Amino acid sequence: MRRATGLLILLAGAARAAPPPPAPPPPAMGQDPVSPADPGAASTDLTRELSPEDPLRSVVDSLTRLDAAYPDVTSIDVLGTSRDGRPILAATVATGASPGIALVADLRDDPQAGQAAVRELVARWLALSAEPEARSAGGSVVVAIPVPDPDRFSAPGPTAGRPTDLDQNFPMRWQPWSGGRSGPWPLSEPESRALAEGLIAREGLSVLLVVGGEGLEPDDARVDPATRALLERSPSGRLSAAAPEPGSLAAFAAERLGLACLRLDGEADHLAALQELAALLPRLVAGEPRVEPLGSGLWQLEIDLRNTGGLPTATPAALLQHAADGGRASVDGARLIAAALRAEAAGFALAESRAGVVALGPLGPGRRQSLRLVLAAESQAIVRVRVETSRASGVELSVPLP
Amino acid sequence: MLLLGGLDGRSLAGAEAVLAAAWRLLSELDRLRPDVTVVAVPWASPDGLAAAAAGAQTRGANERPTDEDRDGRVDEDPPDDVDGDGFVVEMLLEDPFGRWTLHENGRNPVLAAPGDHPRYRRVQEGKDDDGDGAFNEDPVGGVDLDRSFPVGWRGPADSWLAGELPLSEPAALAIARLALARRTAVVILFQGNHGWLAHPGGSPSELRLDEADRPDYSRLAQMLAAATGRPNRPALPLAAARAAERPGAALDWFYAVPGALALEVAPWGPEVALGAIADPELEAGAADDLWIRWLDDVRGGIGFVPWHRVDLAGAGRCLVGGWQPRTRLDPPDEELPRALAGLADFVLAVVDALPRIELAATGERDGNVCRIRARALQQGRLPTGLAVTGRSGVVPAGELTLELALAPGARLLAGAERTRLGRLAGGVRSEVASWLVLAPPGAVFTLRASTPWSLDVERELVP
Repeated sequence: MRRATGLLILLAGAARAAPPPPAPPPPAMGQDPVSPADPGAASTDLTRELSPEDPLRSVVDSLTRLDAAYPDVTSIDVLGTSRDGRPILAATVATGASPGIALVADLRDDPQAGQAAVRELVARWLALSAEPEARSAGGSVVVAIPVPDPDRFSAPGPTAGRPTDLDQNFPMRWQPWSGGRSGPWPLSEPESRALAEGLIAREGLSVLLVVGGEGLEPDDARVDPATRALLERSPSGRLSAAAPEPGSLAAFAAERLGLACLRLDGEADHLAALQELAALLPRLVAGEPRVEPLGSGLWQLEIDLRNTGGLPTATPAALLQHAADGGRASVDGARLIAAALRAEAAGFALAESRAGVVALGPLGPGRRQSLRLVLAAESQAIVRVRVETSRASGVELSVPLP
Repeated sequence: MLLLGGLDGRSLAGAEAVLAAAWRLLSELDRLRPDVTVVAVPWASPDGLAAAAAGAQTRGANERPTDEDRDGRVDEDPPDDVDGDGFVVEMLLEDPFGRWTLHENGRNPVLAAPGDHPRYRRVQEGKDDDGDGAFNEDPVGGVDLDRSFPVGWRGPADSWLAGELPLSEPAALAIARLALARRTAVVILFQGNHGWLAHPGGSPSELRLDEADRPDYSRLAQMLAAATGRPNRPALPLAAARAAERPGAALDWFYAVPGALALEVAPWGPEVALGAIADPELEAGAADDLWIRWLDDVRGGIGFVPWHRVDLAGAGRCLVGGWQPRTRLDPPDEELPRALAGLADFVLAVVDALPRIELAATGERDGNVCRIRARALQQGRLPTGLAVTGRSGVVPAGELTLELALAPGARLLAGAERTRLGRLAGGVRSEVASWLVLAPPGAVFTLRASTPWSLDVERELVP
């Protein structure tokens, strides 16, 4: 992954470049460190009209301003370059490493509308994320790709002179007999390759959210159970399932990476939908640990874990594809002798543990799991237990022994 | 024609077969058709074949480091030669809950039935190098190029050997590009140990042979039998020949996208090994019995490590034994000539059978009005293209096209300048294409016949 700095320097010589806004002043004592000097500035910049001569340049400029206004939660990366050498940018708003959402402008529909919707949504989301109360609610990561097909964006037309339809050019049920629309092989186009590799590299993502356009009606049988369950928990109707058509980005995200694949329809309140979705991301919370002595220097420590989100900590597809695992618990400050897990009302079952690390199973939406650890430690030792998952936030507990 | 040796990263005899064919072509240059290019890639999966040549028990993977057990380390628990006999074979770990037991013949592990004991877990010979309780679960490498092609590709859910993304490996991508860089009519993958000819269909739920293309594969099977003296049997779908699904097989992509006559020819196999003594009544699933018969009757037991007890430090007792790494994958050196016998002749026969177009045309004049008629004769045994050629949109359809280039000042009154006459099987004449043209006396017309698998043929005509 490359930071966009080099690219931005390269573009800085262009005659029509708007001067970047001055860097925000350093935060004063007691000021929220991520708040820009003018909280409305980023949003205003991002909804500014694009330059008709160089619309991609306008997008780059606006993302640069975003990065400058909120430097400690925002980063801009170049995922790759298009066939004609244009950058494919990703703006990441991160208040944690996970859970995460990838926002991608629709590859099939109007690229102008898609990028505008994604950029505006990012700006509004960023303003919200910078609020102290939002940050205290638990971290998340939103990766926004407003212009996934920059050649088509910069030179409007059906496919920018390219016979391949990017949304048929991804692996997973790729169709060779498409009359050329799917390309000679999946990811034959630099744009689809950059997107696929960019999503693979971001292990904390749980959801792909396609923004803009009407979208196709999904075949219910092809919508994965995790996406269906998520939609059942989202009664507002702002979100719908993205159609995992053969060779599409949605099929790749769902079947290769095990992401829930949704779309934001044109008329929905996008920010409200994103907030709703963020609240449904898998999130692990731990209950109060319980300590029981088992004998001299021997302790039993029990921790209740709960997934408060509307998605499992790892979907079945993610597990099958080894894109995510059920998570793991590690112990520091004591010697782990054995571990057991109990799901809901079932009894404890021996859990696999090696070198102080216990393998956890995936936790479904709203489900609980109790972790029982048998430890050897001195009295009054401080035991640290860290529970990590790749797609749900982790928890870390510090438990003083009696 | 594209010849690929050992794309599966295991079949050294496949590499030898391509080299033998190349030598034969070079030694008979005068027999070669000037309109056919043969591209030979004998060492198609360099990492895998290098490991095979070194005698390793290879899965055919390249050397891309892969964290198969997702523990943050790569390639840290490969198979090992635990008994120090120079071979990495199989291991049966004593386990009362294991699924395997040893067949009464003392050779084959078989699935245990109720009441069978002792029971075992069946793994490759090796230690638990990383101490995670599993054996050999993170071996050295990598990706099997022949499982990384896109048709039917299912990702790591199918196998780590499939790669993280289709055509993720530069060597596989280079071969795909090579096939599309020319008018590739035939791709022969020399590899495998089923001893016969397999047609596309490694992942039957994703791709099946078009019935219209079946006669051409039958013809190729007959040609292979004639060239090699092997029994004449119908070509099998790849999954049937390999006795297992092969999602991501290159064979399926060569058929689907370049639209080529793609076939896998296995130089080695139990029937090849046994020669004429194979029982024609034996079904394909009985390959194990044939291999054992070959081992006992021909090899005198050489190539099999008898099962023997080994104590694994900290992991209990186990049996180690089984087929030596290369015994069934490739012929022993002294058997190689027999495995390769006739394969170069087969390649030459396929070259000869490629389509060859002749063009017949007549022109009549009545004043300034000319009537032109033309038809093509397909002199090759193989068709001008497959039914699927062109479906991908990446290469043209497999049909014959006749074009009439008008003389200066001429005017077309009837007929199309470019006429499609469909796919032509071997030895077949096309329909007649006719044109009515207004042209002054002495006007010269040029007719051109083209197909994706042959050189264009031109003929001048003065009606």
